[in-house]
Amino acid sequence: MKPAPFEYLAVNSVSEAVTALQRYGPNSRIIAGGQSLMQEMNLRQTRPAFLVDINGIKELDYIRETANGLAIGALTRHRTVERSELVQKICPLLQEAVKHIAHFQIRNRGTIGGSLSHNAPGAEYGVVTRLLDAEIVAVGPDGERIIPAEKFFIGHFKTDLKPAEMVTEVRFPALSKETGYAFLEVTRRHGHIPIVSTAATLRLNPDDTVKEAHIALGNVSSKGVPYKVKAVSRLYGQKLTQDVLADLAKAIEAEVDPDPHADSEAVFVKQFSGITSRRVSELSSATYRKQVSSALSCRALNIAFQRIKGGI
Amino acid sequence: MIMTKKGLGASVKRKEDPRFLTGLGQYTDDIEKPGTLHLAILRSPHAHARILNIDTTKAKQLDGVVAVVTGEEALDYYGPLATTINISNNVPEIYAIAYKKVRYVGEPVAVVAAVDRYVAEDAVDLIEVEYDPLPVVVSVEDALEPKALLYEEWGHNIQLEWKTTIGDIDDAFAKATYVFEETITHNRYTGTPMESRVCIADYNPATKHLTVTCSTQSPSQVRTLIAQTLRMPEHNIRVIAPDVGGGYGTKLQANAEIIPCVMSRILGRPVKWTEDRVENLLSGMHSRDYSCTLKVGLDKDYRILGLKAKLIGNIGVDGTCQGPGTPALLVAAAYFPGPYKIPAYEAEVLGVVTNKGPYGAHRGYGKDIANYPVERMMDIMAQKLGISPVEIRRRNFIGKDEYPYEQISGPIYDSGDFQRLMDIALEKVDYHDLKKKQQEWRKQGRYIGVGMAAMLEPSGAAVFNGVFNGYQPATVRMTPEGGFQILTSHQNIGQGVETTLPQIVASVMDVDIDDIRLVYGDTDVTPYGLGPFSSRGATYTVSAVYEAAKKLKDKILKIAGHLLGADPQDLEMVNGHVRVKGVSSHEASISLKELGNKVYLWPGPYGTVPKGVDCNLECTYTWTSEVVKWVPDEHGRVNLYTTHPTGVFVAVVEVDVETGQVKINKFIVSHDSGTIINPMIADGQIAGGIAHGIGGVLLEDLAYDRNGFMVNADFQSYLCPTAMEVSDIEIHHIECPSPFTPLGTKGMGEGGAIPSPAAVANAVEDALEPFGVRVKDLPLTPERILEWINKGEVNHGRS
Ligand SMILES: Cc1cc2nc3c(=O)[nH]c(=O)nc-3n(C[C@H](O)[C@H](O)[C@H](O)COP(=O)(O)OP(=O)(O)OC[C@H]3O[C@@H](n4cnc5c(N)ncnc54)[C@H](O)[C@@H]3O)c2cc1C
Repeated sequence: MKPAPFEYLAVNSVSEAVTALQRYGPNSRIIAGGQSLMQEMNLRQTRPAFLVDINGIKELDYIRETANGLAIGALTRHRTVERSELVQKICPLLQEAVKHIAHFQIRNRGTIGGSLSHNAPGAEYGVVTRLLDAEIVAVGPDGERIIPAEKFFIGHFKTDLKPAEMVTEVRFPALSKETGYAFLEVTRRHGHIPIVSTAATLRLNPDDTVKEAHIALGNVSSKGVPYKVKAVSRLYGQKLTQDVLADLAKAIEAEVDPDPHADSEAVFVKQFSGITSRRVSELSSATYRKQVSSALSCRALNIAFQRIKGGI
Repeated sequence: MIMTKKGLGASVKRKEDPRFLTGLGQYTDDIEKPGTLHLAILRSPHAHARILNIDTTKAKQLDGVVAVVTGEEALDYYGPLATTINISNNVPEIYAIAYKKVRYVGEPVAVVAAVDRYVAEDAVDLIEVEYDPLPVVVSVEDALEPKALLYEEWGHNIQLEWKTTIGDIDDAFAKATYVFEETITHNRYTGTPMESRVCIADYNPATKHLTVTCSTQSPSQVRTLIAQTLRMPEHNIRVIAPDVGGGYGTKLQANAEIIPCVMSRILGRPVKWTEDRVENLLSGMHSRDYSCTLKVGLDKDYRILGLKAKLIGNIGVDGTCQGPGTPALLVAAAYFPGPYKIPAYEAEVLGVVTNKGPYGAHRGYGKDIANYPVERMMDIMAQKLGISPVEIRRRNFIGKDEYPYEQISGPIYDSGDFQRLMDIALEKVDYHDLKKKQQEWRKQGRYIGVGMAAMLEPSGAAVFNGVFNGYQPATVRMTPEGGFQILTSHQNIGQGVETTLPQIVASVMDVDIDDIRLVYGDTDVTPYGLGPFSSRGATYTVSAVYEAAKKLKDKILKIAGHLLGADPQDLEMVNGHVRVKGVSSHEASISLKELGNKVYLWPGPYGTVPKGVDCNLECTYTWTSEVVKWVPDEHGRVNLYTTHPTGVFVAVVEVDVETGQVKINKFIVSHDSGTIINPMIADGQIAGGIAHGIGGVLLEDLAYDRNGFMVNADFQSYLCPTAMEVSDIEIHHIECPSPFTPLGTKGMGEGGAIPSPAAVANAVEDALEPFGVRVKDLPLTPERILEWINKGEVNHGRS
């Protein structure tokens, strides 16, 4: 369990990183927290020839309040987000989500930029980013561009990042005080990567009818990207009664479209000794994921509702 | 029995823990001899294929590579793997490195020795192998069809076939008021010790001595197996086992260990192989993976009249040379009757070979296979009859006055009291109250269930034919300075023997356990003997240590009597001294240090040691069991296990019926392992066993696809329980001493793993009763649970 030979370069600035990526070409990879990349390298599932270590870019480790929300540097550790008072104040849903990522040892090293760039099915950050229509800032040889979450994720372990581009920042909108929210997931083991993850936000009209609701789900899209549920729009103007939720549950089951075949195409790779292995912890059936998507979504809305009502 | 504070029955803190907890233990991988080469193994990516050609040219050219050896080249240095165990099974001719053909994904194909592991793995990348893939045998059906033959010379894929009928089984079913039949299956899983296998082999071409340092449970057996496989004189081989990071049965053979040995023999240099986790999951020892059809006939009072068990095990590539797993299926056949009285019995066992990894031992060794289907069956029958699972067990338990009880299948149970264990478990879990509350919770949408399983843990197997025999020597030695050493082959694998064995000697000698050290893990130092397997420690090793200590005490008393001018009969050992009973004057007493000094140093033995007494302060005793019966009777019955801990395990679980997730709220255990040496350590063994059981029932699964690829050969996808998945565990002991061991002790260590899967599965069914859920394949994944809820196939109390 040793990586294939590689050359290693530690950089201290974004421009150095980009120059390095450019110089070494497609065989080069950024290493941030290493919590996804190292295991794949050690198993020889991936064999980058050049590693560009961005841990020295201290200026990418920050959480800042902006005019309409939060800006989080790509190198910010999961643990920092988990413990940040600013995140708690401005975007508590993000904090709720990050607590579900792995175990604290991993959260101490893993970074938000790494998690988003890795785009593992079900990953918590991806789901929240998609739900809140966060923006991902990427810097490459041609300068900076801002990618909406909807465009950022393009497939299992694939993003819109171009070669020699890197994530530098993620921008989340603030959640208003009146917004209820929830993050839920099904895992087989505490801290494990989820089989299905769900994030929801909810705003109510004074008469308790739904003003606005959003739900995003992880690991249910056949394309391997975080998925934003369309059927929630039917809630607008309605009260969250049992019937309304039951109706929503049915609609979500019909809407989401997990494709185990596409998943397995994407997740089986060859590793050391030419042995076939799986890059994800779980593969589960479409039926199961549909059913759980609707159950978690309804639960998440209920929790969000109770939050608004001060029940939580 | 003398009782001292640190002797028998005291929860003494473990002597070994300070070094483990402060990082000062020394494991095999921590050792690096000068000039060591590191090995990496090219393993088969195919489940079944002919090896057409191996080209190692490029690998050999890589800087830092010293040798690349294929299975064919190794043939000049070794023979087929020696047999670890053979009880009426077919033994294949197989080699440590595949020869001509590969039979499972992960089988070693070629080995690189290089200056470090990085270079060695780089060289593995450069080896080119041409394979001719063969049809793959994954399931029992594939094997029986047969889709292909693993061992062409057999003409079939059957490694073990065995049957016995005892009593008038047909009559029993004819007379039965109720007859039930179910097929119950169990997933494949393994022990996952924290330290995988590691082996350093150092062959000295001048002395022709081979020193092997490895992570093993049984140094002596490894020595013999290496000698047999490498065809080397055994007296020139020394096996050292330093600290071992867990075994659980998975380190009881020498298959992978042969590879470093042969490499060192070829190269004349020390070589080291450290197994990584992928290698361990692919090629370490697998267990379980069976289907068992039980047919039970009950009379009108729900008493069992007859039991038929048909067990089919998916062994994988082999369970005789690669590992000792195959006879676990026979152990199951001997123990299906479990805690119950069975008037007529039939058992049929079929073990087939497939293109999965090797089958070995893993906490349970067939006792778990005997337990899970039967304890599931008890609940299923109770459901179908509309009676309590408590009641059906109570009506069939062996009574406490019936011990020693000769079970219909051959074993003799030494002692026990299942009714009382059941009383305690029910009381401690507050069973009746829980069942009442369950109804209330259901109204609130909470599904909580209680499940139980009775446990029988045969311990201390004395297996004929192989390296798992029924004897154990121990030497107890007093040093000239008056301290003690215990020398035994019983390896410390985390079970606390560095504390419990000294507790035995402390009790006999009335000395502090800090004045006693266990010496083990070196075949040049300890008597040839067996390692810890089959929970045999408190059956065999404890008894051997106890008898050896008594012999030494006799000798010490004789010498002291001579020195004090007293009759040894009138002497006693108190607090590190020998003295005339009850007398505390200085003249009537001699300290052990003084005595040791006199014998060995000042003045020395002449005049100190009385005539007729051997002039040393050490005694060896080899303990054998008086109840073992090896010669099968007309029904093939034997009695291999001397002691039988018992218990009743109750699990309380909650199921999320929308997601299928199961949470275990708590385990209540009532337990009997006879005389307890150290209650804290005994509790630790039970809790650890339960963790293994929880892993097997909820999480762990060595899953193969149709091509024979293991789809979860790492810890990201093969899920072991963490502390978060292991519930609170509450343990209550009773003590029914074994009449078959000198101290009444019973070996224990597997007991937790045996009944906990059934307890959890039963609890899940109980929780989901309103949905009519029948638990089928394990592990209980959320997806399966939801599928069963959707299906809802059971009508309670109506069929
Ligand atoms: C035991 C375990 C459990 C885990 N459980 C979870 C879980 O429950 N949920 C979850 O979401 N994750 C989980 N993870 C993964 C963890 O969150 C990782 O930290 C994360 O996926 C990757 O972040 P990293 O900083 O460690 O990235 P690295 O591993 O360093 O890199 C991952 C990938 O991202 C690229 N990359 C990194 N940073 C950038 C950047 N700034 N710009 C462009 N590309 C970049 C790298 O080149 C690489 O391809 C788990 C990991 C482990 C080991």
